[in-house]
Amino acid sequence: MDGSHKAHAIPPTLIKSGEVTWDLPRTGAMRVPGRVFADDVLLEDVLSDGSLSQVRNVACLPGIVGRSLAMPDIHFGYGFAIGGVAAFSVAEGVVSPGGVGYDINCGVRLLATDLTLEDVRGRVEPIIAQLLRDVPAGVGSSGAITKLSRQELEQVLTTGAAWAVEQGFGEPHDLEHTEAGGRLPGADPARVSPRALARGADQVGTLGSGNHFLELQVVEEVFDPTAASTFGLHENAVTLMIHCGSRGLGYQVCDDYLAVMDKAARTYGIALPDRQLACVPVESEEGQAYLSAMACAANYAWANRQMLMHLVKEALAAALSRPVQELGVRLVYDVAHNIAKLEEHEVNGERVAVCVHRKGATRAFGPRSEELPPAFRAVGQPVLIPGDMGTASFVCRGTDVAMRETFGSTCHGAGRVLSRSQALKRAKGRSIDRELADRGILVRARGRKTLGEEMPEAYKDVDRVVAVMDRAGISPRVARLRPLGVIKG
Amino acid sequence: MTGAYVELDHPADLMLEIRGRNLHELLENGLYALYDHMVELSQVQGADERLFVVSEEDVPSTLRSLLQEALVGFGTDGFLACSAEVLSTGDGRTRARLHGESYEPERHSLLTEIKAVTYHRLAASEDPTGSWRATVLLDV
Repeated sequence: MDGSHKAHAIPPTLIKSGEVTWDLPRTGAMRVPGRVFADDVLLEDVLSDGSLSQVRNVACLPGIVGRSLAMPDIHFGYGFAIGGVAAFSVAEGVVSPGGVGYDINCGVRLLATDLTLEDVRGRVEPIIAQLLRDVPAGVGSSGAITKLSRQELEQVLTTGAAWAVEQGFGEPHDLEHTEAGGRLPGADPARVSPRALARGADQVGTLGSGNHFLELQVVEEVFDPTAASTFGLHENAVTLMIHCGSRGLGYQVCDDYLAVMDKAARTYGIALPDRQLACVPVESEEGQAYLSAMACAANYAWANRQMLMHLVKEALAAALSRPVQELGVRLVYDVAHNIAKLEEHEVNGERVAVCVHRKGATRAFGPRSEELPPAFRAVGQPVLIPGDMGTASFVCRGTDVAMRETFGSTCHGAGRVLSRSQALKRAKGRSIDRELADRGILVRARGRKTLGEEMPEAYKDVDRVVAVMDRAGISPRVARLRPLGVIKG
Repeated sequence: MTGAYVELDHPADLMLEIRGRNLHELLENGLYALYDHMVELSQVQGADERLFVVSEEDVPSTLRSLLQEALVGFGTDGFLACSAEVLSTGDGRTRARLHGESYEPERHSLLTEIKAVTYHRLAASEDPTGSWRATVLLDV
């Protein structure tokens, strides 16, 4: 662990501003104050891992507006903490690849079905086995379709999920239920290096590894019947969740542009409290180039999740020996949680064009937003929060409070508390999959280390994380989803 | 190869301390450490040869770039190396020759997916005897 922040006493500069909010007043080189969303227990983690200093550092960057925000699942990252939100004015602010993350558009997709728990009782094992067979997962896996040509890959990068739909993997309706319609504009493949293109060419339709997963779930509890019903969810319904991102293409785009930014930041005379906060003005050539390449990677990830959804639907039908149409599988929504978006928000009574960086944070737009499918506008945007594989995932909803307080953003999941080696140590001699099976959860992983590293204890308590944002009025809970079976890469 | 590297504790990712009796060995051990986490090395044969060339101003950046080349090589066409030899350093240019082969699912057990070689706490230092130590963090 980073050795410089071992004290757990609340620093005198951190002021409790609300039931679950703690403020870092503007001092020194900070241009705006900071705000941490946390309860007393989660605050302990925040204070012990140095992420607070990262919240402060981000507040020093040019053109930041509002506050440097920390979600309850925040943990120490490179420059920017993971679980942070920072918005910069487009006119005067900066853009930073470190504020997005390596896995550009790592995100979550939720599918609803007409199946109930009864329909899959005793069938979870064959469903999981079929998914494991049909969905490429794990390190080094290549796609279900043959390696894409340069032209095809460029189409993926420019049109995102729409490309997959055009190839027959899904319906146009799916695009309406995807953040940004599954396609960010301004994506120019010329901004993506040959190395990144090479890393991405045969990974479309692959799950990857680490904390990426596919999960078969059941809606265990509904907190908000109106919203749940609007989203197409009800108690005992079977759902499927897909968590993954832009694979090697995204990682390489981030790597390429960190190098660009590292050099360029100096030429713009930006004082960096931490080298990893390397950034350039949004409207600079390098800034626009990054945003364009980032859009390509984001579109790649949406195409990927669209394809994975198709493979999942087919696998489910095969496992249950029923025609796909009978299962009523439909996309509830798809959200990104590592991304920078150009949005307009109200700051001090004025509409301002901003570049919102969400790194380990999810968009949570409120009711009436035109970004939402018409059917959801009365309720707000579905927010999908995956937990660790042993507990639960949540569906929440975006609110006007979120629009006012957090640039329409909320947490993204559980966040790690144990390092991988600590987790593996704790897992020694234990059968993690047996422990989960005892709790009614079937886990299958491709990788040898994955289960130990990804054990539930390695993560924060997602119930607690979600509860904080519910209590803050940012993203109230709609439903809790319990895992029945999980595939990890 | 004992003493080539040590894994340090880090909350989310893979922090490594690489060691070498000289600069060339430091860089070779860095590559070894990376591949050792990516694949069961005993399964990798060395029939193919590849040359990595990186141009960087300093040792930490050179180490980082070499490791990133390895990731790109694996991501592009599945190249896995079982041995590495640094041929030359100096004038800001480093050349390394690697022996390995392309990934085959039936023969190779892949271990950890490494997303990137980060700049986080990237550092290298030489002691009076000419031995080197470096730290590098891999995003997993």
